[in-house]
Amino acid sequence: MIMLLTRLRLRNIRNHRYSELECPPGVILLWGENGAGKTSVLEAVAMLCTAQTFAAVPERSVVSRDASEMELGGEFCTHRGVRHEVVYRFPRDGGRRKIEIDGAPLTSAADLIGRFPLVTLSPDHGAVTAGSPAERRRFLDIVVSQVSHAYLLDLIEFRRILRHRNALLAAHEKLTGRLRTELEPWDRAFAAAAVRIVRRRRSFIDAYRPYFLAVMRDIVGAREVPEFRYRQSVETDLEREKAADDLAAELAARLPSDHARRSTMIGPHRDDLEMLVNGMDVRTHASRGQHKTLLISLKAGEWFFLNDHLDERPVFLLDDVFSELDDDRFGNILRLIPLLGQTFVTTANRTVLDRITHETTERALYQVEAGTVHRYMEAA
Amino acid sequence: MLSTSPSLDALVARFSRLPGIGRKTAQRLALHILKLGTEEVRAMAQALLDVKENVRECSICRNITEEDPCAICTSPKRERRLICVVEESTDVLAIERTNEYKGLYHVLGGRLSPLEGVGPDDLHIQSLLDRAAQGVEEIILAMNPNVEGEATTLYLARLLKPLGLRVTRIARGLPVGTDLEYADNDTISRALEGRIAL
Ligand SMILES: [Zn+2]
Repeated sequence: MIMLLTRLRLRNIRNHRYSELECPPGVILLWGENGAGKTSVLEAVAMLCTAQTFAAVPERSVVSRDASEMELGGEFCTHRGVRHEVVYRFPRDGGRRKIEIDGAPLTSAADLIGRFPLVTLSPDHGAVTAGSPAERRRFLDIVVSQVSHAYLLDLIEFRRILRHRNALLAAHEKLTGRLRTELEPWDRAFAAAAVRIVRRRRSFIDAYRPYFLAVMRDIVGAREVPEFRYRQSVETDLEREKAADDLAAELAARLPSDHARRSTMIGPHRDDLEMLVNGMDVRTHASRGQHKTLLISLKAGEWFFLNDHLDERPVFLLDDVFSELDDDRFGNILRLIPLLGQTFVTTANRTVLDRITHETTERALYQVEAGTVHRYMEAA
Repeated sequence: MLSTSPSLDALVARFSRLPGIGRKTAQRLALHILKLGTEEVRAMAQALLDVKENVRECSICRNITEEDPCAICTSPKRERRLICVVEESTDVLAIERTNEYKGLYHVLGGRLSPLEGVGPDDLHIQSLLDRAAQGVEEIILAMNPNVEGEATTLYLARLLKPLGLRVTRIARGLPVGTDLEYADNDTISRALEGRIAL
């Protein structure tokens, strides 16, 4: 048995007043016009699994305009056959989100992450290969957080330390000995968390690389040789036992420039994951098609990696990714789907609907119209 | 919502400002007060005023007290060479509950938090340094297990170590995010026993 999201309830998310879906294993295809509410169904799955929207829009913006609260419900069945009910509520104005698992409220959204693993591929993710380093760090953080709760806690801690450090930089008009004394404990805490984060990112990249390369080979063959490497914003040797002391010393040395900018210029929040194809940086040298292939390989590779490293098989969300693909790539991804377990696919494209109907065996078809979801009857 | 009683609204608003009290709980409390007898309400109001009038800070350890210095600072049974530094008075209560610790305390009145504008001058740090210089052998730092508590620990350790006394921290036995105030007695006892030299 594999992990499944067996049932999904949506209330007051964008144009959905109330929708309910049964989700069998295999492909769950959501077909409908643009704006009908297909992506909202995927956003609901993403929030139930990761406590955040995948398009990086604030949750508040997906709550229906005339509703006071959004409520999502998901029924999961683990590979051992244990059922869990997740409820996710988000008030429209200002309040805190509330998450419950089996009726018990979670004190922190961090406790949800990694329990029901998820991989998402949407047109918004194009920025992972083409955009700023922040997009690639986000990609890294989401994957690593799902395999390592310790990493997630380090990350949450690190972000808070960073905000404290920058607040101190901003609070002091002049660079004085006093500022140095007050910064010192924050720099040490910063360095300790930073070293743990970067070490874990690096070891993740080494473990993940073969999964990525295997998918890439399946999709494009051997003619494109991709590579990626982790680029630290400061060259400190992480293997050294005293790596955190080195980093703290580096922070102290760079204080004049950090203070001038009122911002911390080195650390994991400034690092990047460089991607190359045939030795060239993809951001400047890859074609549109190469970007797409890279992104699909990153995400499918992520799925295979998580599947090997977690107890549960991840749910895969494919948001409107087929319409732009050429026939070859489409066919190759279609062949991957039976391996991928439960996969939610949205499309506005009739051809995609027909091909998935004919080329997959386990599937459920839904039509989405103006915020309502109903079973799509296949022609006999 | 149409209000029919400005007095009730005012009371609800007061309750809502208390920590951990949401609007709904505030309403429930206010309606409960309304049902109490006048004597009962008067007694409650008096209790509030008494707290404000009689309770003050101990001039030595900064713990809350009605006598200055406080009963802990003046007790002959207490080990005077040992000071446990905590963030708030509630932490003293939590540690006292365990009946394990026999030393003195020092209440900082918070923790370092640049984001909230709390710096060293806003805490009772100077008075701690003064006490530390007077025959104290060990100072135990018992901040809450979060980034602010950690930074405060590191900051104090840096100031205290040159004074030539033993500086320790409680073991990281507390789960991250669990404040001392909410930890169970066994956890606090173990954290105190397994303290680590800084
Ligand atoms: Zn006292």
